[in-house]
Amino acid sequence: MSSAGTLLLTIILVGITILLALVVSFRVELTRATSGKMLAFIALFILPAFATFQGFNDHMEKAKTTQFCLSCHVMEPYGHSLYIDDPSFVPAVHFQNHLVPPDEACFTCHTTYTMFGDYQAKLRGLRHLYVQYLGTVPKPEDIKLYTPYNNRECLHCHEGMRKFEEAAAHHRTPDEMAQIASDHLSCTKSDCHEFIHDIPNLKDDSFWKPKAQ
Amino acid sequence: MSLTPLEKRLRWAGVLISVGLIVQLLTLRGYHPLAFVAFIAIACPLILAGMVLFLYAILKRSEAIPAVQPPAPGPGGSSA
Repeated sequence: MSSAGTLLLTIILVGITILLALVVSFRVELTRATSGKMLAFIALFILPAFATFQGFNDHMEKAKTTQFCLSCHVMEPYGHSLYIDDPSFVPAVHFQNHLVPPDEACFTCHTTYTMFGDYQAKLRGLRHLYVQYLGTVPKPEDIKLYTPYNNRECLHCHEGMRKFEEAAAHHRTPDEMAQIASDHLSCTKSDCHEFIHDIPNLKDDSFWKPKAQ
Repeated sequence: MSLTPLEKRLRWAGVLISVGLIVQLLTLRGYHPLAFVAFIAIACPLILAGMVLFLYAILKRSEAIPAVQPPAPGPGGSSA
C-alpha cells in the first residue's frame, strides 16, 4: 500500500479510536453492561495500541523522505545541490537520473542517520533539534559527517552490478575491489568520486531545471 | 448520577487517550522532526498513561470484588 494510503488508514483508525474513547468517557455508565465492558476494552486498550503503533510506523516512513530531511532551513543547500548540472557530482547524478528514489534521496545514501542509526545517532538527532531551535545553527558548508562516509552505502546498490564490478578503474590493483568492499579504500575520498554536495561552491554551479510535471 | 471509582478512572483513561490521539492526529500532518518529537514526547505518553490507567482501573475493580465464600455450615452441620 502507498504511504498516502497508509496515512489515510491511520487517520481513519485514529479518528474511530478517538470517537469510541470519548463515547466511553462521557457515557461511562455503558460499561456497567457486559457489552459496555467489551467496548471499553476495545476503545481504551486494543485500538489505542494499534493506532499508536501505526502512527509510529507512519512517522518512521515520513522520516525517510527528502521533504522531511530538507524541512530544516540549514539543509536546504544540500537539497539544492541535488540539481547541480554536472554528472561528476555523485548525489546530483543519482537524484536526477532516479538512480535513487527522488522522494527518499537523502535516506538512500545516509541509511544510519539520526533515528535510523544506533543509539548515538539517535542522541545526535535530538542534539540537532536542540541546536536548530535553541542553539547556534552552523553554516551549511560547515556541516560535516560525524564519521567518514562508509562504502557500505554505495555497495548496497552497486555490489554485484556488472558495470561496477567490471570497470577498469576498480581493478587498478589486484586487491582494489577487496579494499573497496572492506571500506579501506573510500569511494569518495580516493580522487575517484570526490564531488559530492559541494556546498561551499554552490553559488558558482549551474543547475538543472526539471520540466514541470 | 454519581460515578463509581472505576467509572471515574475509565473516564480519565478515555480523556487521556483521546487527547493523546488528537495530538497524534495533528503530528501526522507534518513532515518535520518536531512533529515526530511531539508524537514521541506528548502523544505516546498520554496514550500510554490512559492505557495504564484503564488496566489499573480494572485490576482495582477485580481486587475490590470479594472472593466468593463458601456458605457457613448450619446448626446440623449441613450447609444447605
